[in-house]
Amino acid sequence: MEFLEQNIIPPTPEHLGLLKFLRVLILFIHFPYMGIVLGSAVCSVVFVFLGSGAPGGTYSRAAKDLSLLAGYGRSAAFFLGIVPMVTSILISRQLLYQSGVTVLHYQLYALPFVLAGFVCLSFYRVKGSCNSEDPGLRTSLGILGIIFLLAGYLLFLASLSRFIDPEKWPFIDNPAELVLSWHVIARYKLFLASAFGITGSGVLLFLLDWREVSNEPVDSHSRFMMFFGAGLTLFFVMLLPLFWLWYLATSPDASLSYEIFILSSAAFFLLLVAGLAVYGVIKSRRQPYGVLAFIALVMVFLTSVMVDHYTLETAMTEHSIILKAMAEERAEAHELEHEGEEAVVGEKVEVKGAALFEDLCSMCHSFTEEVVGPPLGDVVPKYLSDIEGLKAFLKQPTKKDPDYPEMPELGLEEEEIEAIVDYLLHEIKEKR
Amino acid sequence: MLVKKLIPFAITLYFGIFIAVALAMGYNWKLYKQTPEQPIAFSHRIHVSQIGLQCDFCHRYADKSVTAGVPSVQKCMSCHEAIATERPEIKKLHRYWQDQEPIPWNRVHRLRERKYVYFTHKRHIKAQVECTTCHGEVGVMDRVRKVRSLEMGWCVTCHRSKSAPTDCLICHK
Repeated sequence: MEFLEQNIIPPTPEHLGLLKFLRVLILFIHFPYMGIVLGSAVCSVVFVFLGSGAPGGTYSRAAKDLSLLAGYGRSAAFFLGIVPMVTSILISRQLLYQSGVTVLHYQLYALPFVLAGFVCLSFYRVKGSCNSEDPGLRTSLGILGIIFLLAGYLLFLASLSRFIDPEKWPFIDNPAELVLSWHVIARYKLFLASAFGITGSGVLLFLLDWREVSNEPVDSHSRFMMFFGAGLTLFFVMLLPLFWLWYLATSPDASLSYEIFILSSAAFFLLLVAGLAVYGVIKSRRQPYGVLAFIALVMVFLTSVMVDHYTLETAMTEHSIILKAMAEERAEAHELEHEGEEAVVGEKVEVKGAALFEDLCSMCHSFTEEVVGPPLGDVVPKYLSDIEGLKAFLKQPTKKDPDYPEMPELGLEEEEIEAIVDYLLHEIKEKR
Repeated sequence: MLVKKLIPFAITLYFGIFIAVALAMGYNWKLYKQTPEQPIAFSHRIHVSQIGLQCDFCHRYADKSVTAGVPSVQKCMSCHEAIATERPEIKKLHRYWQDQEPIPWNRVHRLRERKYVYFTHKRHIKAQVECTTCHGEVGVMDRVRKVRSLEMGWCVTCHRSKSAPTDCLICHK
């Protein structure tokens, strides 16, 4: 992970804004895709088991159809599955620039698991479509792929959830500590439920021959798939709000804001739309209802990514301000460096001293008048024979004159003190 | 037949309840958990990040006592008698000073079961725990917010990781 840290450029606020937008966008594409991949793989393997007694029956056909629902094809898996994960890891590294946080390294561990999951599942699909003579191997490959995906995604989602929980960062030392929290578990369940929900509505949208569904033949395969898709969607759509509220309840207070709750109720409204659409499918057997259910569920994914975005914004408020300040400091240093090329070194010290004086001292001190502290024209000359004493005082001020409030300690660096002292002495000599 | 007609209503009702619960949670959050407004919009960012004051310049008792202490109005006035006197928030401060009244700050960091917990700042400062460990980056906050839960599990995790005592009686006297 060291190499990542070294290769990351210091972000500017505009840069960070763009990255956050990009993050929302890629996760919005990534989550529904992964949901369909995982959901359809699980359903397909279950159907393989159910249909193992009767090859060529409804169940085996359903298993085959489902294995084709998500393209685990190389390009889809690469661009929708792997690339967004890598991008998300890089973005989180940028957002946490110089924070010393290592928790999100676990996102990287998720990658090989997900990759292995995709490989297993693509073999599973190939074996399914060429009617392999070895069903045992095929099922094991399917199960293995699912286990890899579940494990990889648990790590990935756990790091995403821990992202909004800075309080726990210093204490997470191994993957078990990363995963074991109600917040992570609620997030994982939320993802699994939405995965099966969107798989169900994906069946309604992509796998059905609606002409066959609407024209009565009662035992047709399409009719079976319709009831399966509708039932699956309805069941998980009903479960989703429960998990969602669970997730909200376990989210750290420091990440909550009013928008989260408004977005959540919007998500529940979308789930209501999806639920009614599925009911419409069962009742009237018409395709538009299936399309509506699918769109509503995709929008639910969008709201969940938005919730994620807002919680992150709130949790990282202070860190963002620090990053912004760092960026400004860099810009200033860059400018000074530019100017410095022309200026003489001695003058530069003076410029720095004057700037520091303006920033820090001038609020309380003037050379001629009493402000909060005494006029410097009166007090600095006392130190003319004891410059070290003046430096020591600036490093750790003590109360000298009972008529004035105590001067605060300003946490100055040695060289800053030097610059200020040089400036003070220079000014005092000028004024004499 | 009637039951079949009722199904869409049942679905609507089911999700309607969740929508209501989410909105109620939001309202509850706004009422009780949102960062409180303060009588004077004091900015830690200006005082710490810009001017460079150290925490203990105002919170005098952090290394000496159970509580860190809120500065007296007099402390604020020692500088603000002369600085930024034209700003509306400083004028508010002057009013408190003239009326000789304390500023009714709203507490942000409160232990939930404080009746049963003994916590002292002094010990933690002596053990060189940074202020930011428990209070977050207050130095860049305009309005202070609570960024740590201050709950027992969190206290114990930190005690464990720093090999500080985890005996019950350490905190529950």
